[in-house]
This record gives sequence, structure tokens and C-alpha cells, in this order.
Amino acid sequence: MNDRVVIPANPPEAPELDVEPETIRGFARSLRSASAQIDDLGTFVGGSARIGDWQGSDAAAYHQDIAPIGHRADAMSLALRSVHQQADDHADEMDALVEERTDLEQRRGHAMQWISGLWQRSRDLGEDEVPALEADAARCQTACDTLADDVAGWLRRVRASERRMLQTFSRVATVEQVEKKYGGVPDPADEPLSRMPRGGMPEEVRAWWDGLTRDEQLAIISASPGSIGNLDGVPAWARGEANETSLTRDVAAWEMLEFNGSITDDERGWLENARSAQDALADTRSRVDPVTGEPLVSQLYLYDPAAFDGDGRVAVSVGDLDSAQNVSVSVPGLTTEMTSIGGNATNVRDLYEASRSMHPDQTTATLAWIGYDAPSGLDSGRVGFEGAATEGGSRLADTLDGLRASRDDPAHLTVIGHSYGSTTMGHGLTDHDVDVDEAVAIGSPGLGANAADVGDLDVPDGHFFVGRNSDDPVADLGDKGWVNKGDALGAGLGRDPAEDDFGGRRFQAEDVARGGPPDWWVDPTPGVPDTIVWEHSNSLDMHTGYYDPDTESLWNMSQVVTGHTGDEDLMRADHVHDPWYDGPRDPEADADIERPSTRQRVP
Amino acid sequence: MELVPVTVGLASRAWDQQHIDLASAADLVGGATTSGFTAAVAGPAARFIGDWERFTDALGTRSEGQADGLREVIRTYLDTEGVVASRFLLQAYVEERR
Repeated sequence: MNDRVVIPANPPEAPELDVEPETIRGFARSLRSASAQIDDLGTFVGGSARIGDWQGSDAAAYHQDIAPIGHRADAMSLALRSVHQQADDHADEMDALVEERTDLEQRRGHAMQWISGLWQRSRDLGEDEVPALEADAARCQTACDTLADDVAGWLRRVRASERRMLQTFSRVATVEQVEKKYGGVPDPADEPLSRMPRGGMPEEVRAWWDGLTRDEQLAIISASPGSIGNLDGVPAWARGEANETSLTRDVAAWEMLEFNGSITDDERGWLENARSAQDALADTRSRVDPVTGEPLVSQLYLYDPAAFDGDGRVAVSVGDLDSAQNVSVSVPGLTTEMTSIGGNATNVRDLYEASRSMHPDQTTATLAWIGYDAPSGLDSGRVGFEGAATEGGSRLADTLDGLRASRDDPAHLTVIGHSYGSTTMGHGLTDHDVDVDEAVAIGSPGLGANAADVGDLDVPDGHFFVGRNSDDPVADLGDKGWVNKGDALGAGLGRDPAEDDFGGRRFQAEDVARGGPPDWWVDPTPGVPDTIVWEHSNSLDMHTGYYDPDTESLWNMSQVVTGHTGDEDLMRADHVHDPWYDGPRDPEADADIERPSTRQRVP
Repeated sequence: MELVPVTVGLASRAWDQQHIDLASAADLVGGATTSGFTAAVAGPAARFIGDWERFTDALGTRSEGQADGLREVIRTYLDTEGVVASRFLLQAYVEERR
């Protein structure tokens, strides 16, 4: 061993950082929702709490008495908002610091291996090897010194971030401090809100939003989430934040009434709607992206639990609607209400996962859109008529316009209508000017009376697709051939888009259980242990499996959503044909059913 | 005698609603999870939410006080002889609804 060479000591370890940034964000969200609630009190005192037609000494005393309450509410709302913003920033900083610590620990591991190697080499060292070892040890020492500096710098940043958070708490620790710091301070949300375009085009809304400072945007999300949560033209991240502020506040308020036993029937229904949205978001976020392994992003793009006489309206995304290269909007049909969002979010999650798995080099976001009053419950009878679809088509067109206007870089945009949702989509594409790249109808009973053929749809040539399981009884309802109910009675939902005369591009979408096999069977594959396999069998199941993984339908839809729409990219299907001398014929009824993997990259 | 319009009753109901909303806001604050912070921050964070739960609750109590005060005004007014015209309408606001 040669004692002339100084081997560096082990570099310092970055201390454990026991922190959960996502939990901190949850803390921040709770404060923001409470802040919005308190802000409402301030608004109330300054507005409807004033009783204009009440005169006299009692009235004067009352109005004098309420002013300080409003003053305090406004100050408390601003104070709580400041803590929310600091906590959010703190969570972001902690995220970065956790990542940085991982990097520091990796570097420390490498340095220790290096040091260990130096010690090995220093044993039985020949005289002529000393200079090389000295030089290597000096390099290692430099690396260790740099690492020690970086660890110290990292620790300083941890402490600084903690200090900022603690200072924020201490600045508003008493109501006196709150009044002193925020009393009489104008709410930064008020002035920008007064300039918000009312009833404007999404492009105007976008221009207004872009003209705000970041602080003003965050103030609006906290103070007045309802004013932008469903406003087309506002970016999805802001809508999502605003709607979740409202969601948290609503659930807290209605759960309190439920606990007290004073909740009304209407409020109970709204609470159920809100909880459905909350569960759908949580369920989506509990899963990971199949490519990155990161938790899935989910945005609450629409939230209105009391809409449509309590049926509610909601839209939940899987993926980031603001940045994804591909965006799809799925429109469901009969029986859809806000409480159906769980199943619909699962469908679009399956579409998201398939699109990502099949084309991992592309980013995608899929949106489950329950933004119209679909026939459901007692009014399910409306499914035979186009009224709900006509009104829904208008709302869908607004949503598509909003998605377009809220982004600088246009996404590859696909709209997908299932069942009566395809009729709604049809009205969106025939009654309005929309800007979509692709449209897909699955299990469609018709796209409405205004869609006689593909030429009536506002879709680029060759980019309207149809998926129709030949055993789907709902998809069989569309008019075909020469004489039928639409022509004779003006009834029904329009022509079958899978028919040859319609002119759409049909892809294979056969259900794996077509033809009515039993509900379950034992896998007969030789060498495979007995496995009970469940399959669809009844007629309604033939209508509801279009989003199932590893099906022709999901595979083809994922190809369309990701822009792979050449003939060679899709599993093409022949059209339904209705000769004048006979009934309709679906050539797919006899076709082999394929089971393409929707979990593997498409070459 | 000062006339008490029905809008006083409506305002009392609105103050009751503010009380409920503020109570739920206090619950939101009190229920905020502080376990995500580092040890150095978690303690002060817990103290912060405890204090703010009380501040918010107190604001709710003041709202309830306003509602009660308006109801008292209505009761006193209705007890006054000669009030006839708006008695029926105001009577509905004498009691707290929830």
C-alpha cells in the first residue's frame, strides 16, 4: 500500500427528504375552495345582503353592522388564497428537490465506487503507477468537492422553501394580521373579471385570458371559479383547477347538510353528481401512463351538477387537453347522466391507454363529454326523436370550438359519437361549422335527418369513419335502402352511416361475443389450465363493447385518434348494402373476428 | 313605526345560507391534510389550520347572528299592533328553516 496518495473521503449524503408534494397540493386545494366560499360572503355583503327597501334606524344599524363582516371576509379570502398559492409553489419546489436529491444520491453512489476503486488500486501499488493514481484521486476529490457543494446548495434550497412556507403561515396567523395586511386591498380578480367578454366567442375569451397576469388568472380561479370553469376559450388547466375548486366546495357544503339531516332532495342529487365526478378523477389519477409510468393527468373540463334539472353535466379528460398532440372527444348516448361519468371515463381511459400503447411516440388526451341533456330516466322516450341531439349538437360544437380556440398549436382533433351520442355528433357536424380532423360513429342509429350522406358532415373528405358491430341491435335502427320509416313517416334518427350509400369509411368493429355464445365458457386451449372466460352475449352487450381493450373497434379508433387513417392503417370493413329486392345485408356478419392487441406498439 | 319589508325575511334566509357555507368552509380548512409537509413545516401547518378553522367558524357564527337579528326584527314588528298587510308573508321567516 502506498501512503503517498491521498484518497478522498466519502462525500456527504443528502439528508432524507420526507415530503409528499401531492398531499401538499391537496392541502392547497382545500384552502382554495374555502377561500372561494369566504369570498362569496364578501360578495354577498357587498351586494344582495343590502336591503334597499328597508328604511329607518334598524335598517341603518343593520347596514352598519354588516360592513365589517364583508371587510373581514374579503381580507380572509385573500389571506387564505396567498397561503394556497405559496403551498402550491412549495409543492412544486419540493417535487424538484426530491428529483434533485435522487440525482445527488446517484452521483454519491458513483463517487463512492470511484473511491473504492482508488483504494483497491492503492494496494500493491508499483512506484511507476503512483502519478496516475494521484491524478485520478485528485479528479475524484474535485468531483467529491463539487458534490458536497451541490448537497449543501440543495439543503439550503430545502430550508429556504420551508422558510417561505413558514413565513406565509406566520404572516396571517391572527385575524388582526389578516385585517392589517389584506383589509381594504382590492381583490386582484375583480378588475379582470369586469373585463371578461360576456357571451363572446371563444377566441375573444382566449385573448382576454392571455392578457391577464399569472396572478390575476390564479386569483380568478380562487375567487370566482364558476365564472371560468365552463367557459369555452379558457385553457383546460385553468378550467380544471376552477372546476375542482367548485367541486371541493360543493361536496363540503352538501355533505355538511347531509350530516345535519337538512339536505334537500335536489341537493342530494347534486351531491351524488359531484361525488361521481370526484370518483372519476381519483380513479383516473390512481392509474399510470402505459409508456411513462407516471400518474395519469385528468382535467375536470366541465362541471355543473345542477344542470338539466339535476341530471348534471360534466366532462373529464384522461391526458392534458392543452398540450396533447391528439385530442378526442367522446359523446355518449341514451341513459347518460352526470352519475354515468365513471363508466364513460373508463371508456376514454381505455382509448387513451390503447392510443399511447400503440403509438408511444405521440401524446394523446381523451375527453369523456357529458355536456348535453341525453335522454335518460323518465325522459328516455326522447331517444326516438332528435330534439335532444339537436340541442346537444349545438353544445358539442361550442365545446369543439372552445378546445380549438384555447390552444396555439392545433391538436389533431377527433370526435367520437356512440349510440344516440352519434346522432348528437351528427347534428354538431351538420348544423354548425366545426373544425375537426376526424369523426367516428360507433353503434350509430343514425346521424340525424340532416345527414343524408357523408357530404352533409363538416368533416374533411375521407375522414368520417364508422364502427358497427353486425350484431348490434341499436346500430341496426338507421334507415337503409329505398323505403323505410324515415322516408315514410319522418321518424327515426336518420340513415345508417355504415351503409354503402352513406359514403363513410367503415372499419371492423365486431364484438368478440358476436352470435350469442354463453355468458361464460371454459377456455379449451390444450395445455392451458381451466380458465373461465366471460363474454358478452345478450343483445344490449352487443352495443356497449366498442371501447373494450383488445377489440377491433378500440384498435381502429386508436388508429384514427392518432391520425393513422390510411387504408393500410385500418382494419377495413365492407359496408351494409340494402338491395331494392331484398332486406339489408351486412357482409361483416360472416367475417372472422380478430383480436388485435391494443396494448402493443403498432409497427 | 318603521315598516319591515319581506326582503328582510329573504335576507335572513340568505344569512343562514352563508352560515352553512362558512361552516363547511371551516370544515374544509380543518380537514386539510398537513402530513405531506416536511417535519419542520407540518407542525406550524397544523397550528395554522386549527387557527383558521376557528376564524372561519367565527365568521359563520357572525353570519348566523345576522340572520337571528333580522328574525328578531321581524318578530318585534309582527308583535306590534296594527301590522296587517305583510303579516302573512313575514310570518314565514320568523323561524329558521335549517
